[in-house]
Amino acid sequence: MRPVVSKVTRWGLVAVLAAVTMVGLWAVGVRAYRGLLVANFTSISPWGLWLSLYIYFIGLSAGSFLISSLVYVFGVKRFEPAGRLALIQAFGCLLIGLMMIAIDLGRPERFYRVITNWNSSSVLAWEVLFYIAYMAVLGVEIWILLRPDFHVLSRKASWRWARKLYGMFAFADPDEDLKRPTPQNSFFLWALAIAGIPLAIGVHGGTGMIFAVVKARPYWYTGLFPILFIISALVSGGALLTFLAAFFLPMEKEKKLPLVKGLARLTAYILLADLSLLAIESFVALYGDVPDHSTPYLMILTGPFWWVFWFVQILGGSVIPLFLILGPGRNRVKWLGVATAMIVVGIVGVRLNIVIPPLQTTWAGGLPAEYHSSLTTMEGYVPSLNEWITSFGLMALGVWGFFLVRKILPLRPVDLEKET
Amino acid sequence: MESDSKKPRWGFLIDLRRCIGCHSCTVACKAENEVPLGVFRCWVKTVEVGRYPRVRRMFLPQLCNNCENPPCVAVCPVEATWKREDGIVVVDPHKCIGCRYCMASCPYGVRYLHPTMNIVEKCHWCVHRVERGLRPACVEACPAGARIFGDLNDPDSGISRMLSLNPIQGLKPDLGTGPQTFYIGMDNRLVEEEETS
Repeated sequence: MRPVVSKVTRWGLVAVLAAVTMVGLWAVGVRAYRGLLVANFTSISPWGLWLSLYIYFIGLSAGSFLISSLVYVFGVKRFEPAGRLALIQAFGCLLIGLMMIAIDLGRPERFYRVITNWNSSSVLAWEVLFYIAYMAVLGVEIWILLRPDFHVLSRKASWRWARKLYGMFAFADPDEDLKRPTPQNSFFLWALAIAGIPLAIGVHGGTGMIFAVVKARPYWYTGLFPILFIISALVSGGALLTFLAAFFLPMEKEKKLPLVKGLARLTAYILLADLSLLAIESFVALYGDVPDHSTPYLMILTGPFWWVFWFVQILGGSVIPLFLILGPGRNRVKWLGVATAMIVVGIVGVRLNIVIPPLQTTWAGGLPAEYHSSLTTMEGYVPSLNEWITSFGLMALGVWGFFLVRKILPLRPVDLEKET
Repeated sequence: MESDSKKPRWGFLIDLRRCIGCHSCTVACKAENEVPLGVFRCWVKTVEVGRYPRVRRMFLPQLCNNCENPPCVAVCPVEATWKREDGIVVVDPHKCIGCRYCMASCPYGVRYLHPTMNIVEKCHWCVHRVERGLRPACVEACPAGARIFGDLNDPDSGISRMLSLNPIQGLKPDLGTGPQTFYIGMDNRLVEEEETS
């Protein structure tokens, strides 16, 4: 594959990434040692950046899984080359999302209690079951898909230990030739892909439900909320998949354009649906003007962080990418990649605006400003330095993970990879 | 409320006509429950109304409502918080995983994150004192006698008599949480207007 950037730039980027990872891991250590004191949470605003990123990555995961089901359930041939990438991306994003929630928990070492003290009336407890089942389905589905490649690699890989490892994962007789599984010839693949659809919808619709059932925060307390979550998950998942396919999927250039173009268009249409839902929801809230419901919207549109909505979410995350995808960039892989990367970043704004504003504006019962937190006398919540550094560190870990996966897992079937 | 039941069903009443805004309850609670710096289990909101020279200060002491139908209990993923038979909602510090879902779900903002233990805590009407036949620390400390704690199941208890003789208000009754902290003489402005510092 032709390198996207020059060698010097590439090593520069790797150095930056390494620095971010190291500082990030140090900050994770500080967070582990000092507890939640390092975060700027307050009594009325108990959730912040980490939780926003958690729902962001869970959304990325569920969205890319649902797009993979186009290939493995509905047999859309056009997206077939991106199928594996979608599944691997879904798995990776799920892991980053779970790391975000682990760092957000006050006592992460007690996480097992969600199983041992499972509370059937808690949406969050149900969600954990969904995550476990979803992770299992994803893992097995990826394994079934990659098994023939592991088998080939167990004979072809350059190092002995690598051959051994691939052989272990191939789990097959070395002399036997494994058939490449497709939804048509492998019942398991088809069944898992189908089982994954309600799971992925449950995983992210359920994450939306965590918020939607909170009657104390009228901004969240609407039936549209879980649906908005799923739609914006599809947007972010589709956008990340398009971006990764555009820049990192080993493929012939002529074959790549139709794939990337198709994915980008699909993402653009879902983004339009997402924006319509957002418009409906905010119109209802602002027209009704019930203070608890409309104030968060006013805060998003005109509050101190108005630019997150107008610049990150709308201009950079929607208007410019839509223009590029549907207009002048529509036949250029690179432009489509850049446009979808912008959508991926824009959805971060969506997630921040879901979590933080309604927690700033709810009736605090007169808790005076200096009562809000032991650490900050600031009105309201702004993520602390540690929250930012740890978040970037964990995301950088995800990028390393992707590089590693690209090296050791065949993103395209090995025999096809040879052609490029 | 079953009046014939022998078991106690605790309730809390604050008579705002008597409150002088001295914050004794806040201080007593802090001392009794070792509440860390910066967070509170009970506090007093102050609102100034009227225009000079006709002005008045009103006070709204707040604490956990120990709701009849507590949203915090429903959402806890690990059953770390529950409602006891006597109506008090408690948190088990050994079970809480610190996810803070209960804090996001509480319409009254009475839960807080313990800054060093990293778990959620709240007012439990001094359950450790109540179990020994004592009154909550804030009730004991109130110099104006504005805070009344007692058994709602006992028709002769002080709180039952006050509740039957006076018009009663509660916070956010429309949410269906059934707050068990009642108020006498609550003015809408106390809820609607900003705290005056």
